[in-house]
Amino acid sequence: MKKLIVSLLFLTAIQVHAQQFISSGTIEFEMRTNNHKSIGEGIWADMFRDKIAQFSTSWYSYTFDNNKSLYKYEKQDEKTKVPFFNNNVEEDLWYSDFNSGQVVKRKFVFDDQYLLTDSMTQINWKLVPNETREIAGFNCRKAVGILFDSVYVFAFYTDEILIPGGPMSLHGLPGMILGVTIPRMHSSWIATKVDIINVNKSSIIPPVKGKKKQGKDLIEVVKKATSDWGSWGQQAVWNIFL
Amino acid sequence: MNGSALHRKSMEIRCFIAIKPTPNQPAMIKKIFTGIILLICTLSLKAQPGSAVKGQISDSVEKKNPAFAVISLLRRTDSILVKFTRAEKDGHFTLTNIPAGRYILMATHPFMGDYFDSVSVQAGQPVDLGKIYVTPKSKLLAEVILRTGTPIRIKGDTTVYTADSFKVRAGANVEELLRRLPGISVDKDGKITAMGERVKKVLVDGEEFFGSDPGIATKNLRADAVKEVEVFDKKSDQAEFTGIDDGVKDKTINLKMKTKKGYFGKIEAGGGLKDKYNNAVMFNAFKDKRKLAAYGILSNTGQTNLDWQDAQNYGGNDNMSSGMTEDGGMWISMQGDGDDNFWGGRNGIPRNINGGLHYSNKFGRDNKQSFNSGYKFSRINADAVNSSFSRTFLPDSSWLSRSNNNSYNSNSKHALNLTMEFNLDSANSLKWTTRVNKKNTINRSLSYSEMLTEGLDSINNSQRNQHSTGDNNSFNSTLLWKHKFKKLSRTLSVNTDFNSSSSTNDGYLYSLNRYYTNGIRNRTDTVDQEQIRDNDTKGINTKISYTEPLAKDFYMELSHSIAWNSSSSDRITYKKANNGKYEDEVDSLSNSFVFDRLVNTPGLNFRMNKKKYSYSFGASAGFSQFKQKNKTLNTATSYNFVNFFPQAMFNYKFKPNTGFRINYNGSTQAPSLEQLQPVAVNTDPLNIYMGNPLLKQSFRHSFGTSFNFFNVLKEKGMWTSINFSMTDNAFVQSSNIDASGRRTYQTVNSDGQYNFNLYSDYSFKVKKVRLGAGPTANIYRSVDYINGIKNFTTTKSAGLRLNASMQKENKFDFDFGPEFTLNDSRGSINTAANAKYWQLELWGSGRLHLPKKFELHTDINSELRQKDKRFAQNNNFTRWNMDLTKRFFKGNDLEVKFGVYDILNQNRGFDRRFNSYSFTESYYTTLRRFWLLTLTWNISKNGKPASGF
Repeated sequence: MKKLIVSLLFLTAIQVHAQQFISSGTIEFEMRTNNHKSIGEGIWADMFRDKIAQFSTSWYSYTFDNNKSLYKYEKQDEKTKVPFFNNNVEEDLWYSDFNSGQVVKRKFVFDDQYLLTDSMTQINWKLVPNETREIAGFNCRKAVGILFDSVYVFAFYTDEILIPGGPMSLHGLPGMILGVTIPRMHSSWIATKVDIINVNKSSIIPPVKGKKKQGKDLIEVVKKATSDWGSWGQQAVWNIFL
Repeated sequence: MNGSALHRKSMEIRCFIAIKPTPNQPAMIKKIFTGIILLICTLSLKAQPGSAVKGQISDSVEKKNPAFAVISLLRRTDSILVKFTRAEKDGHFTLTNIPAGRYILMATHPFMGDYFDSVSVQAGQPVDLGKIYVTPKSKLLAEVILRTGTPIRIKGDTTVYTADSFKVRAGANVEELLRRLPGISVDKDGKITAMGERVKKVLVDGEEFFGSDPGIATKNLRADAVKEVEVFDKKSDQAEFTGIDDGVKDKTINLKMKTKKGYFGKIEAGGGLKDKYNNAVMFNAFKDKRKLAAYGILSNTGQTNLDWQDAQNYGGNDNMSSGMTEDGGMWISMQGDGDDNFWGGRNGIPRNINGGLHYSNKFGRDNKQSFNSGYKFSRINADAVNSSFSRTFLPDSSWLSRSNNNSYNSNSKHALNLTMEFNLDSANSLKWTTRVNKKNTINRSLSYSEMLTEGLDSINNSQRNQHSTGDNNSFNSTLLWKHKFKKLSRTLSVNTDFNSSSSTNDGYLYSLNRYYTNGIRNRTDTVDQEQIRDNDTKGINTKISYTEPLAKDFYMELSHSIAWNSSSSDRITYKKANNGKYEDEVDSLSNSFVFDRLVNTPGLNFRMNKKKYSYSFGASAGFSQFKQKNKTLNTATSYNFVNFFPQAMFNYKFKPNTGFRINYNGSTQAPSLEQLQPVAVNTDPLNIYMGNPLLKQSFRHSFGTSFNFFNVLKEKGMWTSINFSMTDNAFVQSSNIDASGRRTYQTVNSDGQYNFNLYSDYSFKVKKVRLGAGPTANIYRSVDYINGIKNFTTTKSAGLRLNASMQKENKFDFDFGPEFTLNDSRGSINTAANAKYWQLELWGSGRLHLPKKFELHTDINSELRQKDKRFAQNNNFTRWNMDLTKRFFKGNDLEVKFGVYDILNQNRGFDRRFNSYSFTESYYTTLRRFWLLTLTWNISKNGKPASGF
């Protein structure tokens, strides 16, 4: 479906040669998670694997204007939702300011809502310039990043959108990331729609609610508390980082 | 679909191959392909001093300066992006603060061809690249190379390669395999071209591997796991869905994986002089979703069945079911088998033999159909010695009782189970479960009991010799149909359950009873009888449930069930006749009785599920028709009544892991056939049971409230619950004791029985030690009648549990938990049987991993009770076990374990009970000290047993 959705507005926009680069807009991301894989291994997991949908889908929006952006939860497919997974994502927000290099996240972690302020961490991206893919009508180039030494992030970015951002707090490529796959998190994020006319620029403001903390400090606390949880603990850490 | 303006290709690097067109390969000549050759203009670079890199982008044809073009600097060694910028309006760009090193400069623009250049930066020397000319996109001539074909098959428009025919190095990934396949090429960036076209999708067994990015599947899967590689044109998803071909086709590779095939198992041989053994063999062979497992156990050390984990791996676990609740919870339920829990009871030391076979498989597209079946056999034989001592206090008299019982029991069981599940489509599923059980029992016992006055004069005594054999057959079949409507949360389910069981028991009783007055024997009687008992039960129960979402998060559940149940019981007792045969029927001990029930239960419940809170309320009403037929007396009684089953629940979540809950349930219990049948049961001639056909159903009210929290980051939590239940018309015992000490008892209805329970547990971590503490309390009031007087026994207990544990993976773990309890038991008619005593239970376990693959494990269990001078014996004991394991070989294939059970030889089976007018202590045979040397051989190929939760 995502191939079919091409913003007509965008088509008209690029025909005007001067407007071929986009500096503000709203991008809809579709996030898919393979539940049968993310439930893990073991007796418990085997018992419940067949009882949940293989993939669950949710949607996020990325609103940007020049050097500021806001990524937030929009909706979830109720039919494929897994009731016992963490579903406290409704109020999650990611605010990025590329001028100051700051990212402010409002995230629910275990029991509390946190307001995490960090300066943007540099991600080492390896460019694969000759591999391209079209996402939401944009020609995207591939880049591969590695987090925490072993978590591969496959990203596709377009240089036609000027902001160097991406879903969640992924950033640092010469253009906007429109597609991401993180195999070890069993999830992918793909842009399905780019709207450059109806942009609610005033919504791009940093969140203020939540327990104030630095993301990197919270990661340390979670690492310690979940040290004997195996892969579940790691997933929690990666989630906070993103 | 894609506008041509958007269909802009950047310059690409490709490798080229082509297939020699042969008549066998029509698919490959379909297309002539073109490729693009990348031209890298390598300009000789004149590095200038400075750490900034600057230049100006210019269009070589139109001589315009393309603004916003991206200029990126990649590290030459690994293509890592170091810095990027966008060109200004006049095409100028500057990349600042570039560390010294060798780079690739990449300039890209949507309408221009890509530009690559090598750049060297030296410390403190700025680089000016001057004008960089980029060219509008153009296609370059393709190069065609001819190559002969290798064995490959053509199926319709699909080309199939057999993976094993193409040699790759051990551990190679799929990408390397693809490079070997004629007609397919993979460039240095992992991009795949097949039959001259770019491959858009790589599927694994027909399913999208992940995010449909071809490179992810080919890089992450091992080549030796692939059976076949299929190449075909896949229609667009839209076309597949609508059935209308829109002409859009993607070149697709499907990797057909080899079937997953292997086995695992273990052989365990354990022995200890002079007579202890514990042997087991377990095996599981799997192929894809098919599982074939078998096990056998031969033991006399208490391993009477598979443990939980082994049951998962080797037994098929047909006793376990799991599911999810509407508010996001999960549940797992285990159906216990009465006879499997033989050990730990009072039936002595078991000698058992068990065996089982399990087969399960999944069929159909996406494995939508499943088949699960198994057969189990067990035989448990045990000798036991029980003895008891009790004192009874009535308002006008008191006495002592002593008894001794030597018994032998043998239980054999064959069990078959079959479960089939059909997921017909996304809306409908069917599940059919059937169980067939056949049990045989043999019991023999020899016992002696006596009653004595306080002055130790005999009141009566009895010697009994009994033996019986029993057969029990049962059949149960359930069919469940579930339907999901299009509207979210609207569901319908129909469950029909059919069950039938029959049992026969044939027993002989010989008893010699003597009665005394003032210590002088005045009467003797003997009982010499055959007792035959036949029970038959049949029932069918159908329940229809319908859920309707009335509003957001608010649901209505409508249900109706019809249950029909018929049971009959024939008890016939024959006296030994003069000819030595048992053929004179004893009327007072013989009866034939039928109990039929028809219950219609409509129900209506409402449920609200919000993020912060949820509640539900509703009720069902059981319209019951009971019919009792006494076939011996040819009388029948029918009675109708209505039972209500109200329920209400409220749950509030302060935080995801902090919640409060309160609930109420009302439920009715019908009396059992044994309680109703109006016949005397004289298995113990001094304690005769009488059925009571006048029993009414009882009604139980249960209230519960709980508060729980767990803080992951602070690693502490609390669980606490309070439950209260009271029963109207509870089933209680009424006893009548005559002057010679003979007791006759039956079940009657009574109010006033209740139970209160408090449980709490607080757990937190100090450094690396997890500590826990929690008070517990229990108040239980029971009712019984003695010679027509109503008695209340109130038992109160209050205790404190403490716990400390610590673990370090592959190093050590320990767990220690004492529990201290104060008990207080009071009767209403006599204070002589009151008791007040403390009790301390200690439990601990530890495990230490030693060098050279040695592992030491120990556990200890102690019970200490306050001495009561009314009981002669001291009942304190400590059971201490220890074992040492040594593992051999790389995969720990061989394990040798030496263990000693009950090192101190103090273990004892013991029980102490108090009620309003008597107290009893009983002792029973239990396992005492023994040692065991066990060899375990673990075998496996391509698989291992599932472990952990």
